[in-house]
Amino acid sequence: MPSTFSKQTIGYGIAAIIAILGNTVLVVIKEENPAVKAFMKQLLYHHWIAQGVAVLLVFLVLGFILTRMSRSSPARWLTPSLIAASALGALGIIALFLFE
Amino acid sequence: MREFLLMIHPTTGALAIFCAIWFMVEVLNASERNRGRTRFAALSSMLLMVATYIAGGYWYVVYYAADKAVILKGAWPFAHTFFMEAKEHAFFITLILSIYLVIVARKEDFVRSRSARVLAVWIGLLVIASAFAAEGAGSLVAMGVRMGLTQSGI
Repeated sequence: MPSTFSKQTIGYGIAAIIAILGNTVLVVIKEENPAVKAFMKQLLYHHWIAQGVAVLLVFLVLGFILTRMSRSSPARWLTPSLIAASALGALGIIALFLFE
Repeated sequence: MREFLLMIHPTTGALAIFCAIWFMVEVLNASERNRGRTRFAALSSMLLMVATYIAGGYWYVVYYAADKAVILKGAWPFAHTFFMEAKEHAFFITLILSIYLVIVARKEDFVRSRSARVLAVWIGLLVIASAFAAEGAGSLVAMGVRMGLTQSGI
């Protein structure tokens, strides 16, 4: 009876946690530093496009690498960590634009 | 054409929410018979969310500047400074979760593993909650434009 997660679920799960929190960190850095925002705009026409590409690349590339490094395991921390990262990520963005 | 483009992304977003709800129902009733349906529901939700990203992103990058100017001069500038700003950045959380949903649906056995069911239901709930919040923020942005146009007498 399998009660373990596959290595893909674990690898891409960790990547999702990092990408979600990284997205919020990048928003804070970008909004607080106009030079970073201008650089992102210069890179891919619009800062939002650059942000989306960066976050998706982090998730997909990191997920691919971490899957190769992971093993099937119960990983009881995975679900609560993903919930916490999603909540923290969303609250961080809300707080930034609420108090800016 | 501009108005049509504007209507596409909340529609595909709402359909992605429906598919995420459908996915959760399949997971909560997991059996050998609904394995394919569960994966199809997750895939549909993700594809519709990607369509939302592309359609909404195109509209935002190409057309939103004019609406933004109207909102900022109107009675509800917070429709842009808070709701649009938060929505455009928090959407990436929804997008990542909906892609992850497909990976979990393909690689986990929901019939035998309770922890996989719990994870899948939580991802579904997070997709639904965050996408609903984006839909709500979008309607406030639209109202912000309306307030701006009303105030300027257009």
